[in-house]
Amino acid sequence: MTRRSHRGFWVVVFLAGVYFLVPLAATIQFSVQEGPHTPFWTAYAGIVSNPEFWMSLRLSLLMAMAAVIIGLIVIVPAAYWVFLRVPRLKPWVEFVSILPFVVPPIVLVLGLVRLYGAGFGPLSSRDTMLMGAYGVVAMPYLFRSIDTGLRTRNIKTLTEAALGMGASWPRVMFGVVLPNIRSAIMGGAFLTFALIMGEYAISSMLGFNTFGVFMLLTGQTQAQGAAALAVMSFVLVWFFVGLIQVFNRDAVSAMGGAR
Amino acid sequence: MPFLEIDGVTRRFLAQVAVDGVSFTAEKGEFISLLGPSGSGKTTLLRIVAGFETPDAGRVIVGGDDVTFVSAQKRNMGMVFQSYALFPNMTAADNVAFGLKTRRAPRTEIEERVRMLLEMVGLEKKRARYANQLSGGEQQRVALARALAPNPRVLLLDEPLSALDARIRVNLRQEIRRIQQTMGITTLYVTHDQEEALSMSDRVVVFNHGIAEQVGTPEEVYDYPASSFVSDFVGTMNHLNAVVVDPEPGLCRVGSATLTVPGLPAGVVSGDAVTLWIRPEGLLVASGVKPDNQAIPAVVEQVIFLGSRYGMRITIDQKYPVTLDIPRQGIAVEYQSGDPVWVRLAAPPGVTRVGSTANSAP
Ligand SMILES: Nc1ncnc2c1ncn2[C@@H]1O[C@H](COP(=O)(O)OP(=O)(O)OP(=O)(O)O)[C@@H](O)[C@H]1O
Ligand SMILES: [Mg+2]
Repeated sequence: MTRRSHRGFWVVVFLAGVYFLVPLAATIQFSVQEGPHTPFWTAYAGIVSNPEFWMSLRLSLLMAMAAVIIGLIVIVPAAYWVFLRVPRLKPWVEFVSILPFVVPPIVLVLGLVRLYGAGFGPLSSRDTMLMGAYGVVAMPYLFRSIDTGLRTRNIKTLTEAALGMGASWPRVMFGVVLPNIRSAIMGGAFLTFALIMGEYAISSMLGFNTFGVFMLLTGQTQAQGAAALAVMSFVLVWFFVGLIQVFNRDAVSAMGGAR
Repeated sequence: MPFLEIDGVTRRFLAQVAVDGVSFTAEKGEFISLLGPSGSGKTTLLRIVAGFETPDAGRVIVGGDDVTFVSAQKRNMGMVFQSYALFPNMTAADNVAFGLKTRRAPRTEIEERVRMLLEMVGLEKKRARYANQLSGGEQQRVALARALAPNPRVLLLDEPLSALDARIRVNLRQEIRRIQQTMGITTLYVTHDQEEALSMSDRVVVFNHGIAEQVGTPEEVYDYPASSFVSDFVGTMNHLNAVVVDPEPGLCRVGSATLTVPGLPAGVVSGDAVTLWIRPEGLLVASGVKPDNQAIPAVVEQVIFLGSRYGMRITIDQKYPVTLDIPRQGIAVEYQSGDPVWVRLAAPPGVTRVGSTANSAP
């Protein structure tokens, strides 16, 4: 690389940095801008002391975990099976997996309510519907990262090697496939997790007070509180991204480096 | 009765026939190479034997059992992949132990066997390493140990050495053969390297477009190729056009020379066109005055130093290119491009009849 292109690179980094950091800095600044007689953390204290905040956070955490678990249970075997046995169906599965991107949340929710609204016992409870909807939202992210993991880790040959030595399917799955796509699964799971933590449309339409809904309501009533909340959710997301890194590093060093 | 029997195995992919009615057998403990160019169906056949593919026709019989439709899990074959395919989440020792654990062997027995196998491939000291902490050659040794651990009925190797550099390849070649012979295990070895196939095998199966063109010992395949494809693919073969002058003493005209060719096929008559098949080492070369009436005049095109010998390309009558070998006996050859030389047959060539038109050749 020449000196010149290096300089171009840094210019871009600088501009991008300004673009992202200035609003963030402004938000932080605004969230701590208090009158002369109030401590700067007032907005934060207001949020943390609000029981609604904790309830919505707890609800979103539970829902995100449920969505990731539902998504993994459906997607891991499906992606593996398509990858291994029916690769020619892959374009179709890929198409189905991006449907949640294409179908607007309102359509998804209306569809769910119409179909499962009544008469399906536990399936008709709003909680189940929210979990199900989130599970569907999770699928594209999970499918993509798991499919990449399957391809890059040479899982087809590893599967054959294990089968050739007489391994049962559960042993192939838990002893060979899952450990080798662990970081792909983690990546997809954390991505989904972060996404659902901030989700607004579906939960508000189903009448839930999730973290996303709480953020919006706060924004409509308290300007500084909303800024403080934005900073906190930003920190939360970075916490998850950091976790992904740690997990990936662990996974990698446990195998002695990526291959 | 043969231990492994491949009986008329055919496998199609859409319109393409990847393996086309292949049949051969292997005795217990035999080492058989499947040799052929890229895309000739070697891997497909190996995968059919391993149970990863099902043939469209034909049978695979091991030790008297028809296993054609038995799943890979139940066949007890040991497979070594070109890409090694060690489990990255396990150490070398755990990789070797994998097949033993699926068989629920007792723990002490597993440990003992893993140690024995790792010692055999010279990697006991590196048993705790993960795949990516091992070199390619070491990974392939672990893969071999892993395949051998559960005492498979047949060992299957798919170009196990093709990703390694030349020196390691030759070492590992001998090592695989030694281990195979010690364990007395029936082995199918896929390769597109004819030298590898000839030097390791008890017998070689030569593949071309899914067809087994010849099955024979390395000597048979090299000295008596069953088809012109085999003769060209296994080693180098010169094809020299000649015309029969008199079949009785075997007189043939090659270019401007007339020589005695032993072993003309029965039934050739004067004027028949024939092809002489001559290996590079089947020709002698000399310079200076014409040594005898069996010598053919030629011109040197190129001399190539090959370490232990020289390779030389000459043309006979400015038309027929011929490749030959000159062993190096402590001296440099004095031939240069453009030099006139004499060549003569050092061994009886293979001869096939091409036609009866006397004026078409030489
Ligand atoms: N799963 C498949 N689907 C379609 N065609 C296939 C498949 N597997 C193999 N083929 C085709 O069958 C033919 C034989 O393939 P095979 O892999 O057996 O060749 P090979 O002799 O092992 O070649 P190489 O030396 O390159 O490994 C090839 O032309 C290949 O394109
Ligand atoms: Mg192959």
